Amino acid sequence: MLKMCNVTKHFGTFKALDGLNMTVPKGAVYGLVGPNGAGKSTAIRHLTGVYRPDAGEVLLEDTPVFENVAAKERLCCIGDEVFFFPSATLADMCSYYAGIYPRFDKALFYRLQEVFGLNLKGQLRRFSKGMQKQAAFQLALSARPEVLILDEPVDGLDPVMRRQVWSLLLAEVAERQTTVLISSHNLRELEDICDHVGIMDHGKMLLERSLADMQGSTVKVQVAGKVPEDLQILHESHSGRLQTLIVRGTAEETERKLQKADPAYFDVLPLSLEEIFIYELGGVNDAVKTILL
Amino acid sequence: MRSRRSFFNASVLRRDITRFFPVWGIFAILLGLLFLSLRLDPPRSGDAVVPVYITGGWAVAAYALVCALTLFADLYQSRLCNALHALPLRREGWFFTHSAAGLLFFAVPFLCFQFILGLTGSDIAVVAMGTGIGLLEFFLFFGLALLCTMLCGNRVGAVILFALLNFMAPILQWVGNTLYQPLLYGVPLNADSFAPWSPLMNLMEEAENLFDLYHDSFTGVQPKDWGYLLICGGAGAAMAAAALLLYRKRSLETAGDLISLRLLQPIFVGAFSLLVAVALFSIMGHGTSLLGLLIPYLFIGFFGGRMLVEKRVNVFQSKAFLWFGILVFALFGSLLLCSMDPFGVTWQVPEAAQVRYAQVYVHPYANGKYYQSYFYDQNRITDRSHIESLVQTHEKLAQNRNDTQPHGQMLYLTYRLSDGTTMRRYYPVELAEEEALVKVMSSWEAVFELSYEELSQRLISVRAEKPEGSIGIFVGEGDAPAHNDVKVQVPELKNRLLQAMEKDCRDGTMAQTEKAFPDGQTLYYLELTLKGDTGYGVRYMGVEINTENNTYALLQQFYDAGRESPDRTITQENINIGSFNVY
Repeated sequence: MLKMCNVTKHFGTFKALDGLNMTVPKGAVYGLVGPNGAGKSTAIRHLTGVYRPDAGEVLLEDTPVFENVAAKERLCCIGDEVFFFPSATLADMCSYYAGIYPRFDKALFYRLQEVFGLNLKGQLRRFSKGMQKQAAFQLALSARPEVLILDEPVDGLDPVMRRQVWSLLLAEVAERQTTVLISSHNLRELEDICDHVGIMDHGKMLLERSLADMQGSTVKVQVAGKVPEDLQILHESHSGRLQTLIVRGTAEETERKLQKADPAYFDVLPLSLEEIFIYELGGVNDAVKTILL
Repeated sequence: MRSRRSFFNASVLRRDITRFFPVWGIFAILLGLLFLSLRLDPPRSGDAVVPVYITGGWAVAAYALVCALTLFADLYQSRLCNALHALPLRREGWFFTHSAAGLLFFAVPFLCFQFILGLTGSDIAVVAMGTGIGLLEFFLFFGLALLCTMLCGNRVGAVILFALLNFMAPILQWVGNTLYQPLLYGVPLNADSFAPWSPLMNLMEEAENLFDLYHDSFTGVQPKDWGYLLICGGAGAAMAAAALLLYRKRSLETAGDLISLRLLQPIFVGAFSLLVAVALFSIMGHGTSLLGLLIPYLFIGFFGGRMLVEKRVNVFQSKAFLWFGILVFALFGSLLLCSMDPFGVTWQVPEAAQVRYAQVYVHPYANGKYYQSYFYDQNRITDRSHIESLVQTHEKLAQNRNDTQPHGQMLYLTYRLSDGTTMRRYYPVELAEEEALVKVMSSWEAVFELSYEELSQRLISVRAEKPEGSIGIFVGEGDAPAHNDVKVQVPELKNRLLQAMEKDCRDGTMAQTEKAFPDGQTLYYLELTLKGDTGYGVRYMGVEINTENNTYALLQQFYDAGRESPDRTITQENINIGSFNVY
């Protein structure tokens, strides 16, 4: 649905995006992960039509996003630092958004008002950071976007508020099949809600998979005894006689190979998302590993 | 894909109006206070609003800049810029909506002000004209401000660029006079050729021409000047269109940068380097022997400019030095070209037959600077023998170059040629050695802009003053002299003065020749008040006379008679020249 094809962007001599490719399928909850400076925010500014790519293109269902009102009406973005006009109230922003997003749903806005319980007439700049995020969510969800783009959406929120934001998001996805792109430098945060993940570093997409594919294609094996030679081992560690292997392949296929080798003991276990990334990106720099752990 | 919502958004307009109400609110309050001031201060009531329209041009320019910077402030803050431009509105939509808001910010308070002025007794024609002037001025300055807003990535840059573009003429003239003109012997840089580059200054002058201000009375519209104002309005629209194109091409990540358009950055660095170099050259001492110092001055300007553009101090890359070398080469190449004078401009002397008329003036100090003078632009020498004398003198001065520090006086020559062009030159001169020149300069044509008959008809009064003292002599009708003046109120005396001046012109002892006489001669300054088109004394001429001439002798006679009168009243019989009232 939302695509970045070979997008390159320079800021002076600095290459912020280096032939970035990204595909966000329709109805997916896509987690965009990368260390600070990887180019996540720059990618998001291209996806929302703010920046013009130096090369490549950004498409929403095969139409360019940049300067395309029809496409941008289907997108809504909540930045890492939410913005409201300095003296605006939530009611002011509601009428502003209603004048800009043709599908803005005021009824939904007031329903969400009951959920969040924010003061409609209070100046938004006097709200706490968490309340400002809530207000941004309230406005963004009321715009009825087909694609919701969130840059570090729960950064700075307390655990209760984080849970509330995620549940709202999941309810929106369940109800309207909204496509969601979430950028974060914390994979653990995304593990429970994303079904697709892309990892960026130095302006490039290192890895982009669906979680189901990844979890089905890599397994953890604990084995004592002979290890079959045809296993594609990504990583191994020893604890006494017990070896722990990270193996590429499905659980069934790996189990069949192990049975054939007949070691003294073996067990095939699923990997957590973090473990998959660590072993998939074994050759990548430490900065990427850091964000995963 | 375009939609009908793309080019204008009412929600954004409403937000602009409510969000920036302090801007237009303060403007409206100031207009209200101006109205009260016009109405409560009796001397400024009625048609005295006219000067407000003229001097108000400065305020219109400043307000246009404030409106543009305020409405497009998001372009200067990356957070705000990213948030707003992620919304589904094309850049044309933002541009037209913000521009409409800017026009409303000006037009609504201004039109209300004009309407109330009209309702409360001001001349409707003046108010209508003021409305037109105000709106056209705003179009010009708002367009220019939009262009500056789009060219720059921060407010400071936009304000500086706006000021530079409005005062381009004096800046270019300053650069030219400091660097190039000393290399062109006798050739001044033509101030007129720079004037169109200063819209604000130019517009103020043109707006003044729309009104007859001398007696606070509106007299009508001069179509030529309306044309200029319409061109200004059109230029404003053209600049706004250029601003829109720049906005469409703008990279929004430049928010906060000094210059938003990458192509313009080298131009900025070059211009900044030159201005810094010329400023330092002027401050630290200038002269052709010090031109080499321009290199370190350029260095400071060039790398300082790069630091501003790149927002970092490490700008000393080898490529930068290459560009610096090119800049130095370009500057010194142009200076060398000037000094070599490949087109022979400094040697040019017109054929006497080609000269329609000449203008001549001598400044008492030959300090190497070029001055424009009231006298210089007023007189017209059409006498063929005088023109031939001037051309011969010119040829001699151009050939015998005096490149050393000039003493004596500075001769200013202007030729209006038969092909419609103008040639201006100036040379250091020793008048004591230029008898023919002195003769020309003392001629009636060189001293007065009017024929003897016309001056006689239009002369209302003469005031004479010694520059070193407060003694004055007033000859004329109706006006009161200053303290300690002698007042002579008999009309015939004017004719005697005119005759004395005419005789001085014939004798070659009249104005502008003071330095041809031995030092220590006291000068008098005559201020002639002429009758204007409306019958009032509105035009002034200044004439300098020497103590060795007939005019001075007559004035001295008037003054002595007034001073020696025991009862401070002098009769015609006493001195046989008329009646006096002595104050």
